[in-house]
Amino acid sequence: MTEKEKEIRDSIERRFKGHENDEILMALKEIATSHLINQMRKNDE
Amino acid sequence: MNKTAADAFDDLMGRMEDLPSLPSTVVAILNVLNNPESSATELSEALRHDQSLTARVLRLVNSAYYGFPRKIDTLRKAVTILGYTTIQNIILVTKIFEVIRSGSKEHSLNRKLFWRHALGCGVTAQTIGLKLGMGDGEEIFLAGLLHDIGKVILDAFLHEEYEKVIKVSQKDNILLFEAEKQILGASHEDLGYWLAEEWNLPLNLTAAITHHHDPSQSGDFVVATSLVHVGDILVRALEIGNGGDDLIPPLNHKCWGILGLRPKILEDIIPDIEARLVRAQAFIPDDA
Repeated sequence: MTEKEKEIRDSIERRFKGHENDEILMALKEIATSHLINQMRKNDE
Repeated sequence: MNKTAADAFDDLMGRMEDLPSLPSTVVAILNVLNNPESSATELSEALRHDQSLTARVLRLVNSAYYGFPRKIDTLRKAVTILGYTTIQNIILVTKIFEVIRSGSKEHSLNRKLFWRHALGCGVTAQTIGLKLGMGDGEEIFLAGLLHDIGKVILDAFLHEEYEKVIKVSQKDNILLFEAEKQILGASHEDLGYWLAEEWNLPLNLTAAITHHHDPSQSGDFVVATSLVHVGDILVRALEIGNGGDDLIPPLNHKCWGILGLRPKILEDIIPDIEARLVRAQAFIPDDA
């Protein structure tokens, strides 16, 4: 995992803190993480 | 609001100076628009005395958001092509930005990020609605764009106290509306309701401004308000702008069920949201 990816994951973790038992929000968290990492990679290319 | 909350709200209103009102020209224009027997000519006449508003309406009508191949150069044509509701919405947005600009020049909210969040919420709620075949796209967009109007009015007209709210929200890592209740005794939703009533905003818009954190309270407007509720959560997750705090509010599962949503649907529409966001940028004035 690169430093930038770690920053994105940490930021998303902070945002979703407290919702660990909400399955829908956890699914949205995965979607957002994947989207933001892909976006970061595209911007870096 | 219960009695204690109502008292706290009255106290808050008493501390606000120069309470914003919509200019009389807008009231006159909205009266024309709300009269089913009025004509495009009457609207053009009502707008004739407000050249900057006319110019702004035409600029938006001709923006990429609407994407008409030919230039629309008169209000009469704009009303005929886009309809009264759309023109009414454009006028409301334009004038609300003017009211906000008349408040404090000092901001605690980062306005650029705030309006990016608001625009993102409008576009996301609209895109979800279109995907599900629910709600009127234009009205949902406006409801999302203005859902946090109470925050920006508090920041503009009760600036010093709102600065404390933002600091508490950051220090205690709590949602802005929780910090507002702690410090001010009322939230941006409470103030938004008061403004929406005072400005005689459409009922669906009032519901979204008042209940976007708990759409199950919004009665007949539960679908529109639920779209804004989910839109708000998704733009926060995707880090589109910033509405003043960095947290995800609780999801109302009842309203998620009413919409019949699934996470995969939201994942699939992200590219559409991004494309609409670019086109909708014209709604935010450069000096907002």
